[in-house]
Amino acid sequence: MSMWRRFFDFISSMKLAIACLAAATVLVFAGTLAQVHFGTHVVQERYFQSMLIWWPTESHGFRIPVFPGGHLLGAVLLVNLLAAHLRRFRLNLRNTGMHLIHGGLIIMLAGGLFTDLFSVESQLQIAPGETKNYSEDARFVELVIVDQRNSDADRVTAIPEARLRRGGTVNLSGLPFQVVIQHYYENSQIQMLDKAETNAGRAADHGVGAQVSVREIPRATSVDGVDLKSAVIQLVPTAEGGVAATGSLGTWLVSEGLGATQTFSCAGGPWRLEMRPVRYYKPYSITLQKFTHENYPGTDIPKNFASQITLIDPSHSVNRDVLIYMNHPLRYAGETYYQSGFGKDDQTSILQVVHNPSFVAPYIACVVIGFGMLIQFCYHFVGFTRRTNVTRAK
Amino acid sequence: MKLQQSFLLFGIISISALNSGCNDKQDTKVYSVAKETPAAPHGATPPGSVMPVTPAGHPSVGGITDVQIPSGKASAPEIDTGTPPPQWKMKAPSSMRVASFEVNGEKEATADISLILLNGAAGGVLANVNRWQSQLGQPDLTEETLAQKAQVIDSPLGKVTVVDLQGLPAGADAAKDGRIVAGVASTDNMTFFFKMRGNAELVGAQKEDFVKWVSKVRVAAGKPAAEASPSPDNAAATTPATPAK
Repeated sequence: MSMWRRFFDFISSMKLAIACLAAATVLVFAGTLAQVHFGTHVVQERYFQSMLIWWPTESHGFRIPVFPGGHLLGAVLLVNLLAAHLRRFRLNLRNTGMHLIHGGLIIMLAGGLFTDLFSVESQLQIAPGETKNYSEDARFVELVIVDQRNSDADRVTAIPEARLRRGGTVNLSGLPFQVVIQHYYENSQIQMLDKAETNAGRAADHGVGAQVSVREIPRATSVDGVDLKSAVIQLVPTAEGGVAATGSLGTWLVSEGLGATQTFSCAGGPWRLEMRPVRYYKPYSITLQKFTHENYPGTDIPKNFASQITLIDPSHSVNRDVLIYMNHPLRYAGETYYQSGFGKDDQTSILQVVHNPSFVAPYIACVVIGFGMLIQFCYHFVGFTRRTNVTRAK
Repeated sequence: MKLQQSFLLFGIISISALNSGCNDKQDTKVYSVAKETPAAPHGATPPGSVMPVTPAGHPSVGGITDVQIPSGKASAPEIDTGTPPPQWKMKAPSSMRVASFEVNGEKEATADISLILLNGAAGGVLANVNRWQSQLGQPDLTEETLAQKAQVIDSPLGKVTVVDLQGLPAGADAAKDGRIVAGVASTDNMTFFFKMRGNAELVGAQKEDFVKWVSKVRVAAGKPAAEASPSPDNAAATTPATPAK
């Protein structure tokens, strides 16, 4: 038997499917327990949105994989289903139902994988009268360096959290300096310093960082806990050809914990530094005209939230009013806006923005599986009826 | 069998490629946006406030030209510092200060007044009070002595712990130093530091106005400081509407 044949037998075997399902059960159990220590968001990233689970979890150095992650298990299960389907596929009426059921499961698994890889969820927090053309994801941060030298528009360079975590030097084409990430803090505490204190405690030597200290603290694990992500960076001017020039624009503390943005001058103009939630800009804008929040009479239990918005998309000549309320989202340009909540003052509307290109996959999968089950049932039912009639005739 | 094997190989390669290569969360992005310039229609504008950003060619939207958009969790919410006492001279806000004032008295006496905003607990009340104590060359307080010295006032930000600390550090100019009246207010995810430091007599004379001012500072309507992060109240406000995946 050829090696390829043995591999095909293995990948299409029922044993592999059962092993994957058992491993998935263990993974869900372990992931649920781990949420106590790491919080929902971190566990989702490390256990379910990864190929492998690594140990030790916090180390940036040597680590070993200890268990398959959600992506790997899902992918193997998907391949196993595909292989089993190909191996046993025989086009006849007897197997049609089973094929459809398998096909539906494959669509569901593939849809789950696509959703995980391509869907983007963010929030639009907007007050009455405001117009916004971006949503934000507060789970992730980005370091933005804004070139304000042009009088017409700002040029924004956004370095994502994943890159900040890796550290090292970030070469940014078109910028007159490099960014050297000296330290990244997953969660931090910022404290103001005395003027009398030594320089040793300063987080950085320029900007706000010269007046505060920063220290790493354990990540927030509670449901409503929020990490305060910070980084200490150095800005190093570059000469022609991307070779680092002498001198430095100093070290800077960038953090979600700072109450204001920071500015500096370079190459004949102003620049701005800011650590902020990841932004997703849209080619259209939304203006909140009115937000209403109704409670059940005599209680604080929400009955209904509704946002009256104006959607403006000049490129498609769209300018229309839309009412978004519970279970009546706005779908536009591949994105869905759900009424998610409201700000504490009862004035700000919070819309959940979901971009999920494969959102129809579960619906299709359910229809296909349901149809397959129906065919399978009907086939057996007809067979059973025939056998019963034959028995009676005898 | 060869056809089936080819299909399977194609499936494995496709899934591997999807898993490894289709995630752009690690890519640095460069883009242009309409200029985000601080608007100052009503006087001094806190850093971090920006004019509404609309796409290029976007038609004007009535009634929003004065609206400022907070730029998210990381940036300062728009702070309404109310009307400060007339004798306070406004100074330009710095990258650290949301509001900054100076007041002058007789014989060149001065005091500096500031409002600083940090996310998180920023060390807590006791640690910061002791930091101010050390600035005045005074020993640290304990929780008990702080409780005796502190005055708690109500404000739109919640409870503000106000302390009055005195002491002249070695080598300091008595015309510019000797007393700190300060307040700390904590919301769910932000800490507000109000501070007046300067000549002891002048700070004492300004204390009533300072406390009045502190009690009126608030987050501008529509831009609550606490909304940026999930809180139990906000969690309770979440609707049953669940996005379809």
